Amino acid sequence: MKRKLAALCALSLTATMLLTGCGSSDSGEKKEDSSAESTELTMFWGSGQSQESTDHIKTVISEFEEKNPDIKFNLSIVSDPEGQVKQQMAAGGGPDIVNTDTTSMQIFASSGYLVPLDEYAEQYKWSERFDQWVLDTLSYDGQWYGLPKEMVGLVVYYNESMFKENGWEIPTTYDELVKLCEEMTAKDILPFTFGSSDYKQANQWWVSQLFSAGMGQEDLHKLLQGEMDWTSDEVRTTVENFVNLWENNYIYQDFAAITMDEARNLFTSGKAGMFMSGTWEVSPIEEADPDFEWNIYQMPSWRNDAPSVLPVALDGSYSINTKCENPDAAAKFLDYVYQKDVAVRMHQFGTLYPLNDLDTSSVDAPEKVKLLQNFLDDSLATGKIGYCAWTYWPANTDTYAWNNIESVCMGQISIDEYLEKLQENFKVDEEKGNVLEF
Amino acid sequence: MKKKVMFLNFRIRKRVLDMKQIKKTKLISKSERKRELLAWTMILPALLLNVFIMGGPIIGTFGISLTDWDGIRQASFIGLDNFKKLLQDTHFFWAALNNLKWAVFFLIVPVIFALIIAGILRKVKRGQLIYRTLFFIPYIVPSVVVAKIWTLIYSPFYGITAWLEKLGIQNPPKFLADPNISLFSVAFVDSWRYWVFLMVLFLTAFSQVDKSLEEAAMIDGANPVQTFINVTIPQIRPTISMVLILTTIWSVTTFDFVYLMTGGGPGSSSELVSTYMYRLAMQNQQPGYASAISLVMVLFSVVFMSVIGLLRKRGWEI
Repeated sequence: MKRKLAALCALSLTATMLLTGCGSSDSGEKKEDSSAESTELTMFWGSGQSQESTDHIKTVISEFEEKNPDIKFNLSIVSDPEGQVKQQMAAGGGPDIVNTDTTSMQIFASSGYLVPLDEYAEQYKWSERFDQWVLDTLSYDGQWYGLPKEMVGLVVYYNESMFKENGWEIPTTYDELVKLCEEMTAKDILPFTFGSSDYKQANQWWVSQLFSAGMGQEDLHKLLQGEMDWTSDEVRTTVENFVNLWENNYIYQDFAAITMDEARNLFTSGKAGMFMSGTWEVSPIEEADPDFEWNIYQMPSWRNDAPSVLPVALDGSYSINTKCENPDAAAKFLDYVYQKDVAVRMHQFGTLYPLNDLDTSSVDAPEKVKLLQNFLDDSLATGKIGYCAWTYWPANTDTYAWNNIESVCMGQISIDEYLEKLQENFKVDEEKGNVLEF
Repeated sequence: MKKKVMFLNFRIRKRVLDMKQIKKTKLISKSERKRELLAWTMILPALLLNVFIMGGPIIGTFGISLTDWDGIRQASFIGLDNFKKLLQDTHFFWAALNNLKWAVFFLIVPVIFALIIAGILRKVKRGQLIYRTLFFIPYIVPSVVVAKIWTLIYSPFYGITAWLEKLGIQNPPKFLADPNISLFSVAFVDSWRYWVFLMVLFLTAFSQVDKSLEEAAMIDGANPVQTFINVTIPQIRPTISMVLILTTIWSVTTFDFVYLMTGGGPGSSSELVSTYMYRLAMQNQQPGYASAISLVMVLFSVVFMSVIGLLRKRGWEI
């Protein structure tokens, strides 16, 4: 018996020693790493990003590493970069370069997780290179915390050949839009394709579009600044108009069963007449090379008393983690991302940078990219812009809005309940200081 | 008088017997105590591991559930507010109802199917291993792969729906897009994978069955179905009970297939408590509230197991 117990104790001790051994070897590695001369920068990248943008960032990184041999870059491609960044940063870690949406960036900045970039902005003259609205969006409490990933807008891609064949015009009002959808449905054509089985957050695009088109720039701005109630008649009408489109199957009702790629295929194969999506869709549609002419229009205003607006956003931002051991190297990389030759290459495949000193008219880009740039330039110049949820909406309101819009369309929750909950969430956001002043 | 004496005699004899029993028990206890001690020593590492792995997070989760926290900023203590909020959260009850539907589905479809197939398979003398291996394949395929395959099978473009449409069937079912059937469409996929696991358990249980009882029933004129239902199944009741208990608990905690195939949609038609909790924690910046929900899930499992334990102690054969 004693022997058995002794053997057992020995076994436990061995196991403990092994575990301890593993631990010390690990810390040993860390020491080795930290003592190394070269700096390693880490960043997460979403596996859901288009192949082109992933390839592009990899190219940019390898070029940067070539020019800066003392800096190594570790790009981790993960399925949920936003979630992982949040978890790791809350635990006191996280990547050196924080690649996140601007709403989360505000929260990180307010909690002291990010390095203020004002000094670097001066050093690299970033403040001269970016528009004021960009600086405002990426600032918190008077300090600058992020650089924009790209500037995007939500537009409607349409089958121009189909429109010409049927004598359809680009709609300029909500009624015209409904009439167009009716006519398409009568011809067994799906008006708006949509799919979200692989990316439920795509609902954000419709939420941003419906609120921008339905409220107009002025009222949506008031709504997002807390100067208007989410339960007001204007908001209710906006949501009702959207539900009307959905209930009549003008927006693909089987969206939950198909992926975004499949949704795009419905458009490029001519089964759907229109595709409401972001400026990022230009490249994939070009690549699909549909056998018809296609073009782009801006969603008409759903109100008679407000002009049509283009919902705009900064599609995420790059910031520097306060835990980054070498923030200078991180800033150097960020500056490299915005070098003119890099920006030109990005522009050519439809990634638009909000840079002042980039003359896009001289860039040899596809015609549709130029068209999109014009849409964005015109809208920004005239102020006829809408506000995309992932950039301008406070976190809780945004999440509730896109998570529950499907339930509203399916009658699982009433429009009134949806609006009341939006109001409640906005109140929470106000209390927590999540509301972006712009 | 005679009766009284007899009664006393009986009492005395009983006491003597009881004393003997106690002595015997004491003797057994002494020899067994050492073995028991050894057993405790053997399971101690596993127990400690469980305490640290499960206990720590449970205590941490309880702590977080008492706070209002967005996962990033400083948490603020709010007492039991998250639990009060839970009682008024209609979405939570909607998700819990879906869990109940899920449990009912799983307690019926895969269990019965596995019982029938195992019942048939045990009679197969040649090539049983081949069948077992073939049936078991879905279980060893990762759930992500199974989910992707079935998403394609359910696809309105390439899958069953498109096939039915080609056959001229009007309005064929849209498995993942129809809010009325999306939950059961996903449950079917999970059960397609789950039933083989149950089948293996039942096959093992069937191997312990007393065949002479079955033969006796057959001689008495029972047909194979009657024998299976009235003689074979009662003999594997402990396994069936265990399967039903496990299935109920797993139905509360199930997550992967719904998350992978519908994300709880369309709308919230296939939302489960676990997917709702995940969404609250990871997307809605409410890990405090999500922790309260997870504790309620744990509590349900603990209460359920305690009730089962209590019923067993009272002699219920479950």
